[in-house]
Amino acid sequence: MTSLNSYLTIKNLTKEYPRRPPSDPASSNLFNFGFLETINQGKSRFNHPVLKDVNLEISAGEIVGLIGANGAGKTTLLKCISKVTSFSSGEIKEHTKVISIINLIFAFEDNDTVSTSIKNTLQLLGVEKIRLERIGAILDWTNLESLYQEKIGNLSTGMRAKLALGIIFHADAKCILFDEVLAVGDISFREKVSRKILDFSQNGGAVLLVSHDLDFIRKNSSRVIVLNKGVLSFDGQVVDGIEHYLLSVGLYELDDNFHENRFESGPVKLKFSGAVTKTNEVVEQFLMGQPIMLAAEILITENIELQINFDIYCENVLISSFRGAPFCVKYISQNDSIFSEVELSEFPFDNNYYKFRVSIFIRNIESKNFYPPIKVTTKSFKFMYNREMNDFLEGAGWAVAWSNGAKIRFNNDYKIG
Amino acid sequence: MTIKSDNYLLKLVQISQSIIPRNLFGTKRYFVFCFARIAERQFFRTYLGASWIFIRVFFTFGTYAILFGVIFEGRDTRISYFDHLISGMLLWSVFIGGLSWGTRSFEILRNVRKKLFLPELTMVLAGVAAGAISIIPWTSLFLLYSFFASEISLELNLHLLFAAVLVIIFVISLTLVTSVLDAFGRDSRNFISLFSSWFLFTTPVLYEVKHVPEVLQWIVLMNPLTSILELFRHGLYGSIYGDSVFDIGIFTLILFICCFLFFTRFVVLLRNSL
Repeated sequence: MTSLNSYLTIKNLTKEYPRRPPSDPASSNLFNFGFLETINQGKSRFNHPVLKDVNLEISAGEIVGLIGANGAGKTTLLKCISKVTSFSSGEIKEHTKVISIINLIFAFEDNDTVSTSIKNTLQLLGVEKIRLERIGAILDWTNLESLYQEKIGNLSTGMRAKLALGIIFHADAKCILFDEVLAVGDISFREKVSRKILDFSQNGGAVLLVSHDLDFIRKNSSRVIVLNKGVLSFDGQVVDGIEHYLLSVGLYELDDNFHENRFESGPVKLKFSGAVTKTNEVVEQFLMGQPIMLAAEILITENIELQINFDIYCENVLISSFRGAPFCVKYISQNDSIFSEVELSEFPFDNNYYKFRVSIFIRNIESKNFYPPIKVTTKSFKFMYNREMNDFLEGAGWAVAWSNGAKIRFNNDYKIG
Repeated sequence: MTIKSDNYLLKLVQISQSIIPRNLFGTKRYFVFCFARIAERQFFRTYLGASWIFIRVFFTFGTYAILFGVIFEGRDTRISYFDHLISGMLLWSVFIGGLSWGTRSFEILRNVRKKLFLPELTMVLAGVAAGAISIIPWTSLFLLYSFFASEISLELNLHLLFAAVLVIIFVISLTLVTSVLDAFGRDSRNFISLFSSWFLFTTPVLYEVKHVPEVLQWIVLMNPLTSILELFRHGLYGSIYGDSVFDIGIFTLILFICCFLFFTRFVVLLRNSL
């Protein structure tokens, strides 16, 4: 459900690019005609998913950091929101004026003067009346007053970036999406932008920051989302998000704490039973495609909201994620433990060692306060090749197939709503 | 079976929504921006700037007037050759300028379109409008000649307006197709440069239909622009117009609908490839 102060809502957004474009005239030469190649390749063309089922909501006052490896789909997500490119399915709802800066510096015309560029860009961003005071404020903020009649072509890349940011901040938007705009700014300008972003959010604005600069994200964001191969694999607190991202690119060693068995955070006590089969046998290795379960007993002392996320790693690199929907659990008795399990059916991985990481996010229903999340990392399990499951590896999207097969089961007596 | 009026209307709305994708046109500000960018591109890196449209027009007029004027002046015509040529070039400049620059609109605005949202239909319409600005010197020339040198008085009537509307719809229709094709490959640009000369000589711009040898007259008469141009001259000078106004109107409308459907179908692919 969309909250009242939500500025941007994205539901089940999927974007696919054709792997081979329908026509590629660049490949034509004297003896090789592009259209003949297109006809020849026509049969083998298939769509390459860039964003898969992305759900996101950005509300007033939030500064959301969007991180992910190269090719994860960050810029594509911004392009979809700003209607620069179309999307295959899903829904994007803007509840206020949303503008995005996707390398806006390159949208300036070299022959235009700084003041003309400001006017043109503000006009394109939907500012109705462009008064001199507004242009003056932009020039003042960017320290480019003396260059207002200079041609854009004579400005350095950093100056253009400053100008673009100045325009964006003065375009009366309530929600701004930034894509790597600080890469060329000097240190004093970065500080200035940091302060401006903070001011903007304190005055009710919302910001989505796409950056590879984790330090900047850590300092400025109030929430982090992580895109991994087009899937939104994390949405939550900044420190956890950055850790999740570092794990996903293999820069973090996962410590196995599965053997500790018991975990505790705030009103939640958790006891892991281990990895079991459907017949409740504890196992060390699995056959590909065989359903497996991670079972746990939970003891709670408050009414809480839980969200269980599930990540799978191969050689310390995140290869797939599953985000469970949040659900509420009521406190009944101090002695009653709740049985829960995560089932991974149709598990289609090939011969290798895999680690699982279960992250449980806990929030008090009444006070809405978060407790530190419980994070459990299993030891490496061996998965054996299963000849019968061979079909699963055929074609694209096995990770999608698996995430569809992940289920979280919970004792319904304790669920609220 | 009875159809409830509200359901019928709802159905119509649903059909129109499926045909006309959202965000295709946008608002005036996009049009102004695209128009300015494409118009500027016509005189990009020139020292003489916008004066090139006037130079181009006077040079073209001079060439045609000298070459064809000598051949056709004094023949059995109702209006003088200069009246014929200027009125023909007025319409032709809209057609060829609009088609050429409208076709290139996606390419010219491609860099901006990659960074900012610009509605595709607006890009094409702005391209056609920017290309058609050469009508300004032609109109000036026409007015100067008509008031100071022409022996024929103008008989302005509604046919003139109708012909002007038809030629605009005609050029927009063709541009909707060529612009999309040009975005995928530049072949359509080469195609247009070839067919512009073909179109010029198979349209009665430089000479009247009856001056074309009888064996080839059917080619000129098959050209839809011939009917529009004849209607235009009829609107200006009250000259004889043989074709049915209704027929050419319906033809242009059907052409527009077909081209628009093509555009909406393929422009999605274009947006996808950005």
